[in-house]
Amino acid sequence: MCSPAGYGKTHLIGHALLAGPDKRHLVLTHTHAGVHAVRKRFTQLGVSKNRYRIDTIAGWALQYAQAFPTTTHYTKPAQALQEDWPTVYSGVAELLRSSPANAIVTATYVGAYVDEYQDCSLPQHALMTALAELIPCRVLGDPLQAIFDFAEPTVDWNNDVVTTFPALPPLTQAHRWNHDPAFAAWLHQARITLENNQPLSLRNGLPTAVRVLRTATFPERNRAILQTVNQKRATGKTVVITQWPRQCHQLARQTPGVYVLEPVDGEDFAIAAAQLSAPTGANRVNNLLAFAATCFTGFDQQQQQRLSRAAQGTTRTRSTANNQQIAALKMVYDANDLAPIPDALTALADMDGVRVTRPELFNEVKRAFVAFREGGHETVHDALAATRQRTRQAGRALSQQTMGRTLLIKGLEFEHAILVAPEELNTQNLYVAITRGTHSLTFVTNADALHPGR
Amino acid sequence: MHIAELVIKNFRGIRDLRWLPNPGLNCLLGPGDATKSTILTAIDLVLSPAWSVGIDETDCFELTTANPITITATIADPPTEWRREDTFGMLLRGWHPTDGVHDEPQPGDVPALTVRFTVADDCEPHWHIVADREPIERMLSAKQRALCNTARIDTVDRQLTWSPGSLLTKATADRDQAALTFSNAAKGAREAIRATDHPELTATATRLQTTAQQYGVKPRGAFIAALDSKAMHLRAGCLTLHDTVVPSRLFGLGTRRILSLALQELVTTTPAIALIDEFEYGLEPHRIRRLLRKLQALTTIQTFMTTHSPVCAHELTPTALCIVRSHNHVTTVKPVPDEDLRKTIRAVPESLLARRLLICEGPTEVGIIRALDDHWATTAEPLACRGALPLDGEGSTAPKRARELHKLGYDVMIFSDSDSSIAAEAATLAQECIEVTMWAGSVCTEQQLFNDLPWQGVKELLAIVLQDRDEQSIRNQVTARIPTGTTLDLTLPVLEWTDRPALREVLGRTAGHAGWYKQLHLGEEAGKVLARHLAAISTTNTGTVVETLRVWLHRE
Repeated sequence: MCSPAGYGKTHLIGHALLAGPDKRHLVLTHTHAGVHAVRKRFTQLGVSKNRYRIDTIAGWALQYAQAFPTTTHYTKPAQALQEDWPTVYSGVAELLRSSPANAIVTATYVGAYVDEYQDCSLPQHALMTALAELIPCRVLGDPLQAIFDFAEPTVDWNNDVVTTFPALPPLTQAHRWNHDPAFAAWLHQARITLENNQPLSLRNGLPTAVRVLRTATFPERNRAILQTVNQKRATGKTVVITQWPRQCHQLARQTPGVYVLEPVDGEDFAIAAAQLSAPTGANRVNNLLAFAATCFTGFDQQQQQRLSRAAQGTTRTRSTANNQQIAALKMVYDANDLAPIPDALTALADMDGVRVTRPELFNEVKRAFVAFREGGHETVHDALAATRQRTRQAGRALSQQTMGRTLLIKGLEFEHAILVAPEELNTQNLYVAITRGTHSLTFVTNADALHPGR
Repeated sequence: MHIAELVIKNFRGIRDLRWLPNPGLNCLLGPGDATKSTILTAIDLVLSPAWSVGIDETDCFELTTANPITITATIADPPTEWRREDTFGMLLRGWHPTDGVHDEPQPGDVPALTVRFTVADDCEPHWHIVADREPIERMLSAKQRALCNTARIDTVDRQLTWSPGSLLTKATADRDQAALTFSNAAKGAREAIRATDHPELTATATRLQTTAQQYGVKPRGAFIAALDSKAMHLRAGCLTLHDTVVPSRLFGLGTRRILSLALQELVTTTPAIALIDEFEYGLEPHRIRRLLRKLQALTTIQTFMTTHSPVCAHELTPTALCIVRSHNHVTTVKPVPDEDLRKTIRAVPESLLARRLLICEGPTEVGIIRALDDHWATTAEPLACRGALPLDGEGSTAPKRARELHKLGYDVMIFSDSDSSIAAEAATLAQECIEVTMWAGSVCTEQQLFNDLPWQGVKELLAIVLQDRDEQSIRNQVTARIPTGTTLDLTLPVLEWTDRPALREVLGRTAGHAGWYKQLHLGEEAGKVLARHLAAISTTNTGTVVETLRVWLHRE
C-alpha cells in the first residue's frame, strides 16, 4: 500500500491487528525510532501485546543469522555492530526459502506488515519476498519519502515493489492535518506538484499555516530563525531542518535551546571515543577540550588553551577561575587509565557561560567511558557499541526544540517545522521536510519557487 | 512427533547408551538385567509432564551423585508451540531418516528439537532444550513437556476413574460434568437420608436434645441424623468405569491394561509417546496379537515396550524388534538386520530372550540337553542362571540360524550329528567364532548312545520305545535293518536281548531311521537315561562330548 505522509499508515496497521484474529503478526520497520513510534501507536490503540512482535528488519534477520550460522553462512564480525548486512539478508532469505527452519516463522506468525517499504535495500526486498512465500505479507510505504545517504540502492517502487506485492487501494484522509483543512489541501496539492516535477510556488496560494521568512544577510537569517523558534516554543515541539551537519551544529550554537539530533550510527561518537582514549596524558587533555568545544557554545580557543596549560602544569598565569575543571583535567593528565574522563567531562559542562548544544553526543560519549570504567568491555569501542545499542533499544526522547537532517526526522511528527535553505533539497527530502509539522511550516529562503531535482 | 535419538549417561544401570529408535513401534527384547525397563524410565523422565520428579542416589550410576545423570532425547517434528521464535525456534535442529540428526536443519530434514534432562550432585532435576551450536540452554517448562503427551501405561486403576488428570478425565470433553454429576449425587444422597424415616436414630437424637436442654443447650430447630457433606469424602474421583454393576477395579488385569491403552488412543488426537513395560502382563496370546496389530497400525503414537513374551517376538515385524544388551554397563540396542531373520525368529522366538544358544540338530538333542540340565542342576547352577538355552536347529538350517543369531550378538554353539552336512562346514563356522560340537566318527546321536551306554542303559532306552510301540513292531523294525551277512537272534522279548556290538549297531540305526526318539519328550527320556549312566561312561566319546557341552553352557 502506497500512501502519503500523515495519512495514517501506522494507525492502519494497528487497526488491522485489532480487527484480525487473536494471533501474532510480525511488524517490521527500519529504525529503532520507528519501532518505538509504532509500539507507542499500538499501545494507544489498545492492541494486545500478544498480537504483534515489532522489530527492525535488520534485528529480526540478524537473530536468524546468528542462530543458524552454517545455513546462512554467517560469521561474527570482528568489531561489534559492523555486520555484513547484504550477506545476512541473503543468507536468511535462503533459509526461509529452503531450510526446514522456516517452520519457525509459520509456527510463530500468521502474517507480516512491513512499514516504510520505500527505504528497503534490494537485499531487504529479496528477504521480504522470501518471507511472503511463507506467510501473507503486506508492505506499506511512500516512494516520495525514499531518502537515503548510503551507497546502497533502494528498491524501485514501480518496478520491484508493485510487481511483487499487488497494490491495495491507497488511504485518502490526511489525518495529521485533520484540524487544518487548508494546510492539508495545500500539502496534497504540493505532493502532486512534486510528483509531476513542477515547481512549488512560495508566493501564491499559501495557507495561514505556511510562512516564508525572507532575509538579506546571514546574521539576519539566523536571528529570524531564533525568533521563530522562541515564538513557537509555547505551542509545541519544533524541528529546525537543515541538511548539512556542520550547518546544523553552527545553527544550534547560535540558537539557544535547540539541540542537535545525532544520527544513530554517526561516526562522531566513534571518533570522539578514539580521541579521548589517546595514549598520552597531554593528548587526552587536549582532545577532551577540543571535544567539549564541538559540543558547547561559549567555550573559545583561548579558554581551551588556558585550561590545557593549567592541567599540564605549564601555566603562566595564576588565575583561580575554573579550579574544579583544572583539577579534573589534571587527573586525566596524570592518570594512566581512562577512569577520570567522565568526571572531567561533567566538570567542563558545569563551567559558567557554557551551553551544551550537542547533548546527545556529549552524554553518550560520557556514558561510554563510564561503562568502560565499570568493566566488562575489552575496549572503549566495545563499551561505546554497547551504550549505543542500549540507547537504540531504549529509544530517545526528543527534546522540545530539535535540529536535524531530513534523514533523521522522517517518520516523526512535530507541531512546528522550520525549513532552512529548502532550495538545496531534492524532491524526496523536500516532501519529507514539508510534511513534518502538524501546525505550522516555515520556509527560511529567498526563493520564489522551489525546483527540486530528483 | 517421535523420539529420533536417545542418549543416556549415568542413569541407574546404564553408564552409556546411544540409540536411534523407530518412529513407530519399538519392542525392547533381551535377557534379564539388560536395562530394558531403565530405558523406559529414562524416556518417562526426560519428557515427564510432572513439575518435579524425585531423584536420589539410587538413580545414579554406581549409586554416586558424582556421576551426573543426563538423558538427552531428540524429538523429530516437535509440538508447534516449541517451534516458535519466542520459545525454542532458534535452537531448531533437523532429522533425516537415513542421515540422522543435524545440528542445523538441512533441506529435506524434519524439524527437530533436543531435550536434555540433567541431575547434578544436588539431586535437582533440570530440563532444557539444547543445540550444539548454542552454548546457552533454554529451560523447558512442565507445561511445555506435557505437550509431548508421554504416558506410561502401567498402573491402571486411577486411569479408569474420573479423578482429576486421569486419562478418562482427559478424554471427557465436558469436564465440569463429572464434578456436577458428583455434587448432584451427593446432594441427592443427603436429601434422601433427610426424607426417609430413621426412627431409632431420630429417637436417640431427640433424647440427646432433651438432656442437653438441661445443660443449657437448645437447638434452633431439632436434633436429627443426617449425612455430613464433608464426611462423605466424595469427589469426582469416585466416579469410575463400570461394566454394568462391576467396577473396573475388579476387571482382570489384562483387560484393565488394554482399556488403558484404548483410552490413550482416545485422548490423544495429537501425537503421543506410549511406554509399556512387560507388554504381555496379564494378556493371553491372542489378545497380545490383536493389540500388537493395533499398535503397529497407529501412525501418531510412538510406542516403547519391553517384553519377555515369545509371542511378541513372533508377531512383530523384525523392524520393530530391538535387541538390548548390556556389557560393562554400556547398553546397546540393535535392530534386527533383515527380513531373513524373520523365519528364524518365528521358528524359535524364545531364542531372542536368552543369552547363550546351543543350536541342536533336532528335538532329540534338545530333549537330551534339558534332561542333562536337570542332572547338572543338582550340583551346579541351572542353565537358566546363565541364560543358556538349547534350540532346535532343524537339521541343515542350523548353520544359517546360528549365523543369524550370532550376528544379533548372541553367544552361539552348534551341537550336531556328525553324519550331516554341518560337519563339512565346521571349519568355516569356527572361523566365524561359532563352535561346532559333534560326535566323533560319522554317527547320529541315537547311534552314539546305543554304542556308548552300558547295556543297562540300552535296555532303559528300549523301555522308552516300548511305551508307545509293541514288541513285535519293534522286532520288525530292527529285523528289517539287519545288514546282509549278519545274523541276530531277536526271538527273546526286547528287554531280554543280549549285548552284542552288531545288535547295538542295528539298534542305533533303527532308532535313527524309525524316529524312536525324535520328539522333545522322548529326547528328554533318553537324556534322563544318559544322565543316570554319565559317571560310568565319562571316558567314552559320549562322555567327553557331554563334558564339552557342559563346560560351554556353564561358562561365565
